[in-house]
Amino acid sequence: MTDSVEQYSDDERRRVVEQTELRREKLRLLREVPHPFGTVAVEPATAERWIERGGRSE
Amino acid sequence: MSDLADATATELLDLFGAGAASPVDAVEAVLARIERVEPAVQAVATLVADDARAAARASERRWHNGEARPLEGVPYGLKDVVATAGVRTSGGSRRFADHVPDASAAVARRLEQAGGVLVAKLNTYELALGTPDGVPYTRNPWDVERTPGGSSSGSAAAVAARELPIAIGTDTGGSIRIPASFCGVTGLKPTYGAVPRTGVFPLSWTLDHVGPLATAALDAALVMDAIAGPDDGDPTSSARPWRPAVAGARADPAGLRVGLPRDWFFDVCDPQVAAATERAVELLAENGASVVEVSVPAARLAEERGMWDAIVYAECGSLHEDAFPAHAELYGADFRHVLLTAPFVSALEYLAALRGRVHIQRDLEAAFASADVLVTPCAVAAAPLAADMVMEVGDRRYPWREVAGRTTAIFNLAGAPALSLPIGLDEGGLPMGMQVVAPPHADGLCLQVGAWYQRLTTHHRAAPMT
Repeated sequence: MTDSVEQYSDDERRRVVEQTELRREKLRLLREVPHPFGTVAVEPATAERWIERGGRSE
Repeated sequence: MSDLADATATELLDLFGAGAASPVDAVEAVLARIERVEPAVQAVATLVADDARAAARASERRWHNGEARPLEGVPYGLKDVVATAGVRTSGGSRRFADHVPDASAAVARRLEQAGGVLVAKLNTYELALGTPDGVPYTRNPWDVERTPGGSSSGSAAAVAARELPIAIGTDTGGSIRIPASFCGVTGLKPTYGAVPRTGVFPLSWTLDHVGPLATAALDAALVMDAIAGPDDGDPTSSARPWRPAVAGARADPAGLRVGLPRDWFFDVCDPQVAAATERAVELLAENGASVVEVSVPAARLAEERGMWDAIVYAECGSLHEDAFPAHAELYGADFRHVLLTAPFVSALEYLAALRGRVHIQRDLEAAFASADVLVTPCAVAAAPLAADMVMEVGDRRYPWREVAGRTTAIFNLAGAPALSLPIGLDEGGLPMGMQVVAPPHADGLCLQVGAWYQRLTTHHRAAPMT
């Protein structure tokens, strides 16, 4: 195992931090968008079922 | 047909059936083309010339005996993420540089069973994502200083240079359609699950798709009829039986309603690409289609809210936990960056992104209530120079990763089929592409519209190295 921060360059570490911060901000905004199912919890398989139904809601 | 390498798969089958050419002739023609153009294009990862010649001779006997199968004797290539028993399958990666699988992927088995003749494994971005690092960089046959796009770079370039009439690619955010667009060929990202991924290197299991690239949509239909359908080896493959697409693709669609989403898809788009897409829609309208304006607001949501990144990074990181970071040196710089970043995607972020797919699906469902298909620009500009990978979109310049998937990744998130079609050359002589999108499991409609458009135009026949 060679998992230590020393093996990564400053540039690699900077890019990881920048990208993570950017993505977290974007996803924070996503979570603020009202979901089509409101308060009903939606598991990931919901999207697959929509595909299997040919793009039609239940 | 002066050179069989220039023939489409459909034309080859017609010639074989009429006794005007044989699979041996066709394989020799593509091998000669490969020998001529490959030093410049570098699409081929592994050439299997001897096996191809033997398979072509067997195909010739089948034609002679009246036992020809649907793709009997047609040469093809596979992106090098598709496993082939006994033939090196590197994934464009140092990690798998010497990997020789024991078994072939489902898609490879099905093409072989349909009579296709494997000629070459084709170069790919590293494991269908990372910019090539330490392996040959495929060039765009229209201008070898430019990229063919990725990640199915070898598949698109090989078809464009007429090294092969058909090839298989994979598409997680646009990796079939963007190279197809940059190289002026036809490429289908099928419905999620329509083509089994058994034996294909995974990148992101909720977004990965396997599909064809070809000169013509009719050829893509031929390939889909061979490779689509349920497979026990892939639990995500659709249980729906595949409805054959070739017969439909030969007929003009009646009363087609084309939806044109002018927002988002045209917002950051080179004016030449936008105009060519509009002209294509006008041509469909002149030939009987009706055009309606539609809106897909969630396209903006998907791109601007980081959904694709969160899903791909998390799933890709999970897939490579066994080797990264312990063997970080086996990965190229681009791919390594993804794996370095992956641990910082939280479970909550990943689930938010997965949950967000429903927004897109709801918008598409609404759009498809008034339209049978949507038409959008595909790549938002022509291929960038390989040296800087900067896309020139009108008078603005963007790093290609910022805008390349802008019109395509949304349909991976939704799971809907999307077809990239050539729509002519820009002022610089480079190909432009548009995208035809249909509801899930209406892949045949995409192909039908594509084949219809290609009966009305000749853009797909343009080739740079013939």
